[in-house]
Amino acid sequence: MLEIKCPYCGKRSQNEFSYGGDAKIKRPELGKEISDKEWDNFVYYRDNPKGKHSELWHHISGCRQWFKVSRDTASHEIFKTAKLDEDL
Amino acid sequence: MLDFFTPVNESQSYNNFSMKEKTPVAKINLRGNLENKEFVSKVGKIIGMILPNKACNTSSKEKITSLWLGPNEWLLVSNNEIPKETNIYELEQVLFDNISKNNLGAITNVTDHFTIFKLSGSNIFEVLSKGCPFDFSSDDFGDNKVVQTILNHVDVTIHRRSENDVDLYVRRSFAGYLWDWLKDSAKLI
Repeated sequence: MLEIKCPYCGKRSQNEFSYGGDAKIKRPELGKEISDKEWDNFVYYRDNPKGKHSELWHHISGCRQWFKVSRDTASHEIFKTAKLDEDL
Repeated sequence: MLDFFTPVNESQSYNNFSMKEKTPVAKINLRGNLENKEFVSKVGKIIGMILPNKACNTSSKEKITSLWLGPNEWLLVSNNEIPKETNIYELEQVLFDNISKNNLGAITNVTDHFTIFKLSGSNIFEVLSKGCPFDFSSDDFGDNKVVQTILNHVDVTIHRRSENDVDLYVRRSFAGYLWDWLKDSAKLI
């Protein structure tokens, strides 16, 4: 079980959190013409790296805030957590 | 208007641990941005205290206590129990007129959403630790602190008034289940 440091509440058990996917995905700009392929990439395609990965987590049973986590997908080591408007 | 309906009709006591349900206590959920000075000053004037801005902190006056739930969310609870027949409160109306109507934040009456179990005795945290991942012995969790966590898979808010006096907030629909679980766990201490 992981211990995740919520930037608002401090260290808490993984039980209190829910995983929110890749933190680096950006929605295509509003009102701009884009190809089906670009939309496809945004909706479905994700990297599946072994090693360092930036992800979103939600402290759903705690302060109910979203934040970013930099985690190693193989060893589960957590390098850093940050608020959404901060850099990882 | 809802009539107060208690999900548990008993009180229990065990080895240095007892629990009962608190009859209605007004609870108002308050949301807003602390960086908005107008919001902070208006709320401060109405409730007569500064909202806690640090995780797990509370602040308290004669009539109400405010609990930190998140960086933009607080729970205002009345210190005294209120009549069972009513769930309309003066404070809610005043806050609604000044905060919600001016688009400064949001006020929601959650009195009937949560119920409170009043736990007392020196074995409270022995019992809670049986189903909760939070470390109650950490230095950050002293008197007058509040923590939102899970207790046996149920979302709860735990307000430690003192070492032997804890308020456990649980959603009404989960109250019966959690009450039974507490009875079961308390037997083992």
